[in-house]
Amino acid sequence: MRKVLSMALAAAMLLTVLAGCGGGNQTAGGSSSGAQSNASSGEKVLTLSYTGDISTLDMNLCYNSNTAEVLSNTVATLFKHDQEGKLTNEICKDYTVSEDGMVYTFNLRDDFKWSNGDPVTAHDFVYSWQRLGNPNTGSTYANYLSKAHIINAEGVVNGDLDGSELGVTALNDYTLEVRLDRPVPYLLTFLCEAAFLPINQKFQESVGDKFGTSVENALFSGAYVVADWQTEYEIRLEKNPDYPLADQVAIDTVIIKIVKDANTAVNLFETGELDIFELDGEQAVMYKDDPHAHAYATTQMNFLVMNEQNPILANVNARRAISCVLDKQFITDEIYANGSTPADYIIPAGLDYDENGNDFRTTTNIPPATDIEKGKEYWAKAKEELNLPQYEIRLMIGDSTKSKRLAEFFQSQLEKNLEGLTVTFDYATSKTAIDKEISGDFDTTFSTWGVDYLDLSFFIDMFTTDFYANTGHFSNAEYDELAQLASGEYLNDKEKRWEALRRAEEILVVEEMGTVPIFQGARMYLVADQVEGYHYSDVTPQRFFALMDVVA
Amino acid sequence: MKKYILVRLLYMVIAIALIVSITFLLLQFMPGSPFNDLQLTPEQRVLLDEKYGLNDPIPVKYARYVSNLFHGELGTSFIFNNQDVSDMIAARMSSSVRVGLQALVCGSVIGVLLGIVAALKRNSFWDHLTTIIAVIGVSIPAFVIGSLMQYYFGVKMAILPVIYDKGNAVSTIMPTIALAFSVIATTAKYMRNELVDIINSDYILFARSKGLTGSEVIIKHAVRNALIPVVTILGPMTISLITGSTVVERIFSVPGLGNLLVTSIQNNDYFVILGEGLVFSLMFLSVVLVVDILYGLIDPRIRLAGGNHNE
Repeated sequence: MRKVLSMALAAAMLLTVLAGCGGGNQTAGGSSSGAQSNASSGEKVLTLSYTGDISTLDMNLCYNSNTAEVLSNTVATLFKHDQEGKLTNEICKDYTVSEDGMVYTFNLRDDFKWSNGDPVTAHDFVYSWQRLGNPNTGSTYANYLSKAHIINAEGVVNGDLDGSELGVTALNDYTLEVRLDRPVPYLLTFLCEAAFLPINQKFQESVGDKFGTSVENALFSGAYVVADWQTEYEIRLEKNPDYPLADQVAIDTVIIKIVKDANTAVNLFETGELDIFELDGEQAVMYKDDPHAHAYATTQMNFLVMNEQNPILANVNARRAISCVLDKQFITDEIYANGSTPADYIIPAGLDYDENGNDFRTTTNIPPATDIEKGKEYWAKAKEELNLPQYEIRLMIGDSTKSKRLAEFFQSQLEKNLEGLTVTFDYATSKTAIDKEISGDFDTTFSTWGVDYLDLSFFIDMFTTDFYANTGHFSNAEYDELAQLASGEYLNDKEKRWEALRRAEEILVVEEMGTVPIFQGARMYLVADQVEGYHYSDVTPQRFFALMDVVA
Repeated sequence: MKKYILVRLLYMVIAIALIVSITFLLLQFMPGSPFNDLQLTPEQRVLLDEKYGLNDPIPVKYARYVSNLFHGELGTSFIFNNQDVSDMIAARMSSSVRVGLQALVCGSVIGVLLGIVAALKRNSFWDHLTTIIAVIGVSIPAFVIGSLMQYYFGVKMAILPVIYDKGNAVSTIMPTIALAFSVIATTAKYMRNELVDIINSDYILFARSKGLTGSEVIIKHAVRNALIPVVTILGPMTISLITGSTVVERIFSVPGLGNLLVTSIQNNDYFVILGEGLVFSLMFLSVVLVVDILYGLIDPRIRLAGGNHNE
């Protein structure tokens, strides 16, 4: 009996393998014609990939950009951004701002609907924002309410005040009032963030804690609805027929595949199974001259955090020396190669413009930092002042290939040019690294921050003495005062504000070297020929699929 | 036999209890927190740790976890906001199990057959082929084989789908082969060596001298005995195929368990780590039990050694 069984099993196995190989020819033909058959049936399908799954469909709990992108494409809110990053109305019909810039009144359209048929109303915004601030929700983005400077946000977020005290009110079903504790120039763009998307209270309460954990436990109201979400595999968005602006939406289906491996994504693109994917690291170096490669600037800054509690890094000449000997051009051209630009500044380009349309960045005068001879001089001076028996700093790095390459390059540059200095590596996973950064158990590390909101003050505030994430402990009285003026007294006086920020930046990255800026980030995508209107911007939704089209 | 299985099941329960407790304790010493994020204010971090009970004393946390376990709850994920760990594992289980078992069956059957042929026809073409496959299978990592296959069969020749597709069985061929390679190599090597020893042993000589035909001797006596060590290694191999195929999962975008474990550890997603540990050890212990029972079927002497005198 056993013999018969095992023979049968073996035969079955061989058959499976043979059948599999034989079937391969047929299916491959079928799969490559898959995209075409979609095109010929008239349905427009866009296929893209994420390297990681979305984490939730609960807007208040959303904390990563993929999740934010899916949510903002499927839940309507006050405004959207067009390809150029300009605000366009979505639910908001029109709005007024009080003279002091502290009270915003939004009039909403009455024809937006949730997928359960309920209308989207001003109450949905109020409920969402109060829930966002409620400590019981456990949102890591609760402090966005404080960053928007909504009245009483801090108290609500810290659990000292009830959610009803928050400065947001539904005057009626379709009028929303937001009260602020200071003028906020970036408010409208900031309110597009996924954390602020409206929530239908009735539905959320009916599913409780499970809200957003699956398609069944979520509601949609945007240009698309999430039709299917298979964990770590695929997310399918379908055009929402009830979307009042549906006539402006060209693509019927957006398929998002979870593809973690960059080589696999390249292979999928080559076989036409992916229309869009982000190039990263080595792939970016390979494809940078490919006609399908497009780079999009971001407002993300990459810089070196130097812990000034370390005796070497506490010395300003040592910090200057490090800044001088770093070849930033090599880093952006050879290690990242995704359109990132070397930076000697900390306030990124693309945040704010004067009345003539000039970027703040073009109005400053920061001298080029890289100068190896000068670096050697600073280092000699630093050694004289420090007079230590040996000079060693630890560089804390994450576990990605790119950060290792960056670290090795950093090490070679410093050890080659700064005589007697040893750079050692301290590997840490991202969560451990943050522990070490907060507790001060590090000498230096690379840091990457994107702005939460489009404001010049964002990166300046990060290096003020009392800022919680100022882990390098840079501290300068004049700098702190300028930062305070820029976010207070000067808010309504652009000229004075820009002047203060220019001076603060000069203190930080020229005089005191509180940080070494390395580059302003960019993203590079491979985009198939049939995709029209592709764009990427820093403002939410980073890519609005409703603005794109697929042509045969 | 029944009693034997019952005793073994009891041991399993004790082992699981120990594994859960030790993993739980070890995780308490893991640096970092799921809410380590420089964007969070210190006040917010305190509030979040409080909400999720991360600041409670270890015994309190342990008691809560165990009591949840008895209610069949594995807890919820921090990273995948509020998703049930059991749902998360279940969602990834099917793909992992599918590819893993296919690789196991393919690999062990081919490996055993190759091993037999190689042993019977020593120094022939088949023997050398088996040796070459064994060397390649053991020394070349699955991701190299996987990447090469993906490029040549998926892109260049376009005869197989580039990545795993839940609805298309053909798409499982490449991940299965990539995983099966080391199984073929290992089982073929074991099978060949064991069989060569057995063929040269006295009892085979005796069987032949009794007048049994060549194939009868090989199948009834030699192969059956040679299978014992192969079955022994198949157990742990099954588990490593299902749980440890992180690299192959990554290359072929298989939504499996291996990836989940890596991300959950990187993100201090405690309950997911614990849940996976629990599920993996359950699978492992079950497979070991099945293997032990299989021994008995292959070699009745082992059944007796198992402490059962009724049969």
